Amino acid sequence: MPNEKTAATKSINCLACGAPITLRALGASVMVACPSCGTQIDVSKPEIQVIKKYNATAREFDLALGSRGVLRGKPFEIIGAMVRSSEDGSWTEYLLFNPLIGFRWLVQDRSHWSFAQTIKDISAIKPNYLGLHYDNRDFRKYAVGNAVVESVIGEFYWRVKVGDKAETIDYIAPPWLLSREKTGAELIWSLLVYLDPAEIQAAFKIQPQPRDDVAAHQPCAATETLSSLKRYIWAALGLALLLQMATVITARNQQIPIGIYTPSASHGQEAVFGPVHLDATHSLNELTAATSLSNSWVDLDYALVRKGTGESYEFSNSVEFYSGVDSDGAWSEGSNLGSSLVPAIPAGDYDVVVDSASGDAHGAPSQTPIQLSLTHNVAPWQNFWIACAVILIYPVFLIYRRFVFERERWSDSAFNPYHTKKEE
Amino acid sequence: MSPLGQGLNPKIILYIATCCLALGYLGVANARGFVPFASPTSKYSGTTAGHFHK
Repeated sequence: MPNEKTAATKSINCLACGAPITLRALGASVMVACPSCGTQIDVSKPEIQVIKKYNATAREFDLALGSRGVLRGKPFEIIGAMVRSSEDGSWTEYLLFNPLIGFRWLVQDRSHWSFAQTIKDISAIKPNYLGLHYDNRDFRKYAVGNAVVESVIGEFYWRVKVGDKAETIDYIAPPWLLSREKTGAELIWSLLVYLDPAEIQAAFKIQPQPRDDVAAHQPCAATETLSSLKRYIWAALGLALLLQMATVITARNQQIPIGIYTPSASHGQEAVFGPVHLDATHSLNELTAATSLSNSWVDLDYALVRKGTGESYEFSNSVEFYSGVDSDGAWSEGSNLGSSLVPAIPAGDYDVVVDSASGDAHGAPSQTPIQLSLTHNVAPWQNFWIACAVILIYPVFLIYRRFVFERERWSDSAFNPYHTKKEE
Repeated sequence: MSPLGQGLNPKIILYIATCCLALGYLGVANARGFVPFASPTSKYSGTTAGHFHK
């Protein structure tokens, strides 16, 4: 690793075009490409020599050589830049240098930026069921390609030249990307971490382009929010379950027979049962009607009328049952059991007033007896499911957003697990 | 974002408030024996006889 003593600064003139060139990592770099004409000069020895002469027009880069910025808490200077391309497009790699830290990379792929470092101990990269395991993260294979150097300016610690080719494989574990590059017998692994545009803006005082697509290793905001919410989701669901269990345990489920009601031939002739005593302060009650109808129906109207005050709580239910035989065999429809939930009933003595309307296949009223019973103070479950739904609405929305984001992320990959291809 | 920043994330605060509302509803509704979508009930004063002829 270079140190301050070896990382001296020196100015030279291009041996081809005469343009001034500042060597910012002298002693650490071995070649420099003239920012004006691209001519490559060997700077590994005191006597500088031309490696290859070019007469290229200087290429524009978003960040200039010599730009300094603080990335992940460490100051770096841009000493080199190259444009590379593959089947999927081109990108820029800036070589960063800090005499105390060494070399790092800043990669600009369209509107996405990454901070990269070469991995020295590649034995720590292990294959696993997903692809690779490195640094406690599982990486999935994302892309395979061939990268070609299109343009080079500035200093480098190896002799890079236009036309250099490498076979590349990318593995992702957002916001991380493992890049494998093979050039001849040389194998280089790099670890990239995705940089938020705000980090680039703060480091180099530039205005990054707005992101209009999803990068391979771009972190998903929905995933991060979901991760932050996880403990609150479980805590809320746990509390809801506790409240519900307390309700279930304290519910009395007291069975109170009301009586046998026989529908009258004419509507409006009600029967009065009771009184029944309901002793829970505010209770949910379930009134059940059981009968043995055959091809007929009964609509039952009820009123719980509180003794003394005359307060009335009205509700209704229907019982209908039909059966027969057709070409497909025997069939039946409906049920001989009907029930109604009667919510929020104060404690007290109540008369149960019943009226009905009924009919059979011929329109004649039914006179089949109906057994009425009431279960006092039952545990409601609807409120629990409503509370769970409210608690889970936002997490479910975030899961959907994550799905959409991940589908977009993988749409450019040959290893797309979503099996959809982004529309051209 | 710092842990403090995460703690102050408006989305998380809003979510916690929503959970509190849901749990508050569950507690109060269960205690009052209330359920939505149950048979419609109405309340009025009168006598036992003639409730369906008002």
